[in-house]
Amino acid sequence: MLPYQVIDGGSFTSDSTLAKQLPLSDRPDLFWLRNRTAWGDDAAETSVESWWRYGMAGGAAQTADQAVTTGILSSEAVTSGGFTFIDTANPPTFSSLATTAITGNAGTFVVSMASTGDIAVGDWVRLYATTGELQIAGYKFQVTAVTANVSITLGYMASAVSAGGLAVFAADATAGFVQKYIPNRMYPRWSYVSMITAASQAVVYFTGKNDYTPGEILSFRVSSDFGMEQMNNVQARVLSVTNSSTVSSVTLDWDTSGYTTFVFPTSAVAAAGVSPAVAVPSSSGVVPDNGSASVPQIPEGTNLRDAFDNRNKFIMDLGSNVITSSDAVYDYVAFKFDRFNQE
Amino acid sequence: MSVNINNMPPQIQQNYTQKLLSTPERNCIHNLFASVIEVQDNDGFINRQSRYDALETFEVPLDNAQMNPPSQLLSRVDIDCRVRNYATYVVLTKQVTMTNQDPILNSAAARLGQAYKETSDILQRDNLESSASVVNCVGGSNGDLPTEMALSDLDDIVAVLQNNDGDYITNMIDASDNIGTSPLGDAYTMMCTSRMIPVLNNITGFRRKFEYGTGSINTLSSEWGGVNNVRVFQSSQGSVSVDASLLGNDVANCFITAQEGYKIVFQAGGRAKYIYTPPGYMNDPAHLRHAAACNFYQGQCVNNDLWVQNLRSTGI
Repeated sequence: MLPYQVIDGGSFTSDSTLAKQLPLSDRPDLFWLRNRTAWGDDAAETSVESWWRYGMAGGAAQTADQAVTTGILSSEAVTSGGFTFIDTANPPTFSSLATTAITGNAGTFVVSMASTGDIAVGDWVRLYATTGELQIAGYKFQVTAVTANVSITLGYMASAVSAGGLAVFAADATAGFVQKYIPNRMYPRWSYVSMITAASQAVVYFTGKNDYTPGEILSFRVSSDFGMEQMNNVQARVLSVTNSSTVSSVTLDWDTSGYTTFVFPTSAVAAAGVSPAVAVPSSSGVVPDNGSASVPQIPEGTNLRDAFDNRNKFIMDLGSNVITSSDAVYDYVAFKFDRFNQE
Repeated sequence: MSVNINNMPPQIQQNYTQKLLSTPERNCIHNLFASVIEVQDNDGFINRQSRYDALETFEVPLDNAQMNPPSQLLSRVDIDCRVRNYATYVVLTKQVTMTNQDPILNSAAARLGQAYKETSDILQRDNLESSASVVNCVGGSNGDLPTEMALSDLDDIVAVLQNNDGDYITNMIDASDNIGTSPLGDAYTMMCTSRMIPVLNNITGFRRKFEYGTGSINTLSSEWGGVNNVRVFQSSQGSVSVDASLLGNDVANCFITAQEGYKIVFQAGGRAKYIYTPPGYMNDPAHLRHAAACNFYQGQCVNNDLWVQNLRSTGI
């Protein structure tokens, strides 16, 4: 018998996002979760205990709700906001959802959707067939806000306008599709560039959080369709990195002061055929001291954090229908059966 | 009444042919053109290689004052690659190996070997997908972005790689006097999904490998053909980004590389191994099961971002 029945276990304290991603050592056959804080406290608690077994749909869960005072448990089944097992090297695919408008003209990049599905803040989505805004069709964005079944916001793109000075698009999109996707975690990754400022230390904005590090050298592909073609094939060192809830950017040791303004091509030009402006990981350079271009970090050295790496994981994604309380301690156990019978 | 198998069935109703049927095996193409590095044991887990940037050329002569010109700054970049380890195994009960007609441990070893090679290939594929420069095909006519690949797209990539001073991987294939053959220039190599085959066959001037001047002698089964200065290798596990085009169609990521564009890193003591564990180990006091395992250490990375291009195509 191999010791494979319990492959992972532990506890965590939930936060206000009511979401959690737990790394696992393998795909479990059964995953069990219990709210230790609420268990038996005589207060009503939805999903005080919940579980998932191999074969259940992504986002599904079977749960037990706790009744007030009596503590009596009642069974429930949820189809969303439950458990989703993710192998980031072979991630699940998601259905496309329709959009009726994207406010690129206003520069806010709010995507109107009658159904937002299970898209959550922090998820990556891919847009396509964005009528009127084809310059971002095929692009990948990270979601910064969700109003359920109304809209999602592509805040990192919006910050390229508000913080980076990107010119707004000529028109809003009037139709299109949004597809959630989970990126492979090979590191480092190329990124779509949403804006490059013309400055003595250029700031490059991205469409979602970046994982570049100070001292890393990035290489850029910027065609004339994006204006600042002087940046094409430039290899520049990263001085500092910003990854806030709405802004993703790096500041470069590269002077773009006299360069042509970075601008997205029009929808019509994009439809006729362009290659996107991208940043590509290149190599390691000297790590700077707090964003300084000339003073190296002490002790002096080159970046090791940007080493090419395989960071893929097995993850159990927990949604808001199984994590129903913030600041609660949850216990979990992941089982893998030596023999899995399905009769 | 005659004697037939209704009243006289054979005593043994089944026979077994020892020759096994083929297991589908994918073409492993993504490590074919990688430079290979082996790191020694007991020396950390991140491999570093360095590259010195070229100095500026100096065409202006010194004047008669014969003053020393300003010195140049010699600069260097480092390419770091972390090596990870991977493992999988098969557990067989002794009853299976004692009762099956086929020597099943042999098949387990073969399948573990296949799983290793395909995993190693997928790791490199995912690395290239993650970090190689992306260029959209725009020379096709299907109205999508990227379009389906066209000759002009491949020529553009050759121009990019030549402009970046990337060396070809294979030498020119000479012409011959065999009917239906043509020469092929010095070539970069392209790795793509088998779903690209119809697109490739439609590219103007594309030559299947049987049209090479030397015929298909000394070519791999994964090679499909070539055009101008690109030779194409395809695999069913080539890279595809699902629904990633302007119109939401699947996009083939076709990696075109020059020499030393990317690499694979092995650990000296962590080369792929087949490990057999007989009954009696692994908490098996009754000697009921044995195991066949495989493990290996590997890292992969792009050496020079200017020398590997991901030419994206639809039409698949």
